[in-house]
Amino acid sequence: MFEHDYRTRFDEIAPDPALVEQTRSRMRDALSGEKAQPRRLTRRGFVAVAAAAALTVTALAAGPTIWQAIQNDLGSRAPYATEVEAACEDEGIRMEGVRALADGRMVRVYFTAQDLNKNRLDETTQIRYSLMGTDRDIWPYGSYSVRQLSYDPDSRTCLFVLTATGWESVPEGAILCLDVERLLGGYQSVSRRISASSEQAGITEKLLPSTQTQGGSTVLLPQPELESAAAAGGPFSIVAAGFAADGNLHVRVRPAIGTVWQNVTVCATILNDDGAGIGRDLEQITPVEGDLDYCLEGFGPELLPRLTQVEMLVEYSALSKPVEGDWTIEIPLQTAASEHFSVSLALPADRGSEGSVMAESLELSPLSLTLVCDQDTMYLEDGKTLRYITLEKFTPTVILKDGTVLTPTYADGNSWWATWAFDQPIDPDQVVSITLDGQTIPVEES
Amino acid sequence: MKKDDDGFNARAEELLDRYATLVYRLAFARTRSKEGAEDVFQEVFLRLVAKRPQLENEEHEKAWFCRVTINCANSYWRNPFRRRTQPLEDTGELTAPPPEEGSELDACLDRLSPDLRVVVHLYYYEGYSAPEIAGLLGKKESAVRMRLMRARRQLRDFLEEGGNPCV
Repeated sequence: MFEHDYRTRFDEIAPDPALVEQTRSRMRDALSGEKAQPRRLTRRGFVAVAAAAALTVTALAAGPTIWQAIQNDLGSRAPYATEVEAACEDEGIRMEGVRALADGRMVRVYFTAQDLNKNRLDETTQIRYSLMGTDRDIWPYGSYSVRQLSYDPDSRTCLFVLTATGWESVPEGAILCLDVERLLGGYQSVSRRISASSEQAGITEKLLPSTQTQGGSTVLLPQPELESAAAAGGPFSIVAAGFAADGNLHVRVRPAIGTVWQNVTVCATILNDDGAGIGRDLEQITPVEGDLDYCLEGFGPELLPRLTQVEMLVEYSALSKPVEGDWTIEIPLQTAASEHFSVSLALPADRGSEGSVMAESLELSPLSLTLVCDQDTMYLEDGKTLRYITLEKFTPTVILKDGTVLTPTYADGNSWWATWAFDQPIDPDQVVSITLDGQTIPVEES
Repeated sequence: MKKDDDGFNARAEELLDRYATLVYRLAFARTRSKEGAEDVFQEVFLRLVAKRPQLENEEHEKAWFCRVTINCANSYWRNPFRRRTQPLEDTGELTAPPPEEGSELDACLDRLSPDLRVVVHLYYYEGYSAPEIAGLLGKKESAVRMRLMRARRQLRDFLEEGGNPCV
């Protein structure tokens, strides 16, 4: 009853068409005014290349040491990194913080996971974790992620790097608490989808050839065309999908051979009254001759017009089951000193928004430059309507005493702050001025 | 509009049309305010064009929009200026309570914490399972189940106060 009431209530809620059109207009403005953004792709590409390179070297030359891999990743920032002494063990896996790099806005922590006795980890180890500050009332991190840098098979050790970007200045002496709850080596994922509207391979109202198991469950028989496609394809396939003789929607999945662990979800996307697609899992599972038959009971051919697709999502590993445990390491951060100085700079709001937003401070460290705006100026005179501004577009230039002009790379931000990272560490004392939106701020006089 | 080599521009507008309702409802569920939902709504779609995510399929798209909406709504509340203005908006609503259907349910939802409201919405409205919600929120499945249990308990208590135990 609650579910019904809740759905009814929220079915009534929809965005104002004017809001949608305003947003569309703003998106068009952003798309027409911005350069294409290879930045993130480039960075991702770099990460992939770096990881691939590390793995290649591992294969060819018995692997770089963990230390070397960290040095490679840090590059010229290495002198600003500090050693970390934090370790714990659970379930035969030792987790250890190794090095950290931080300024007021950006944090990078290198840590390892070593399987002490077994071979449950590899170069595709998936990690499930959460990040906390030890002061639970303050959460200074805007976004964070963990990626694997390398795997050393000799010591059975994975190297990870955690990167976090602060939306508030990270306080001096802050302690980061990394809480890892699961590791899964050999991680792979695959998805298969069948569109209900596809004429060739779609789902029709016709009841498909079915059979009954010894337990009395109705299951689909494999469809020859899907089965032959499955034989030619990769691991985990849909070998039948449609309505079985019991009148219910079924999907028959053929698992991969040799998996140690798998998590298969089969989901149907069903339109509700307002046309929104709702995912519903096919929860009734029947093993049959090495396959798995998934059934959505009560969903018959008469409901086919509401079905848009069925999808199989699989996570699996041929190496290990997930290792679940409790690994917590606390990493004290020694932040590279930042200089904070006040500015009074009017930055024009985005096209379509009125007026300007006042930048109120800059934070300059050897590693990054952060711009912070006065949040009160981000609202129109009514005090409610947000004045939009894309700070990312105000790429700053930093002028050094020797005349060098630096253009840091945008790293992260939100509506009222933005951080750009320097490609090479700088000496803040050498900075003469910073230019933003054509306006030059002399640093020495600030 | 600049040349749309990779077709992203057209695709972004398609995504706006397709996910506008989902994003707005989730934002409203989290913020419980029209202004909040509108702010978050715009932020989400501007983030779409800024980030240009590679969304591989419909499931991935939906998960991306849910996750980003939750993140934007979280940021919305972290903004101290918005926190400061919220009581004024609440006061405005309290001075003229509309005698509308569903107001009892609304009152109950208003009293849930934002985190519980998100889980309730994803579970009861968007049809996500507890493990899926755990994946979206970066939480343990047990934590999600605990939130659902707490939400159900609180909603039952609230609704029973009004004589309508419906959870």
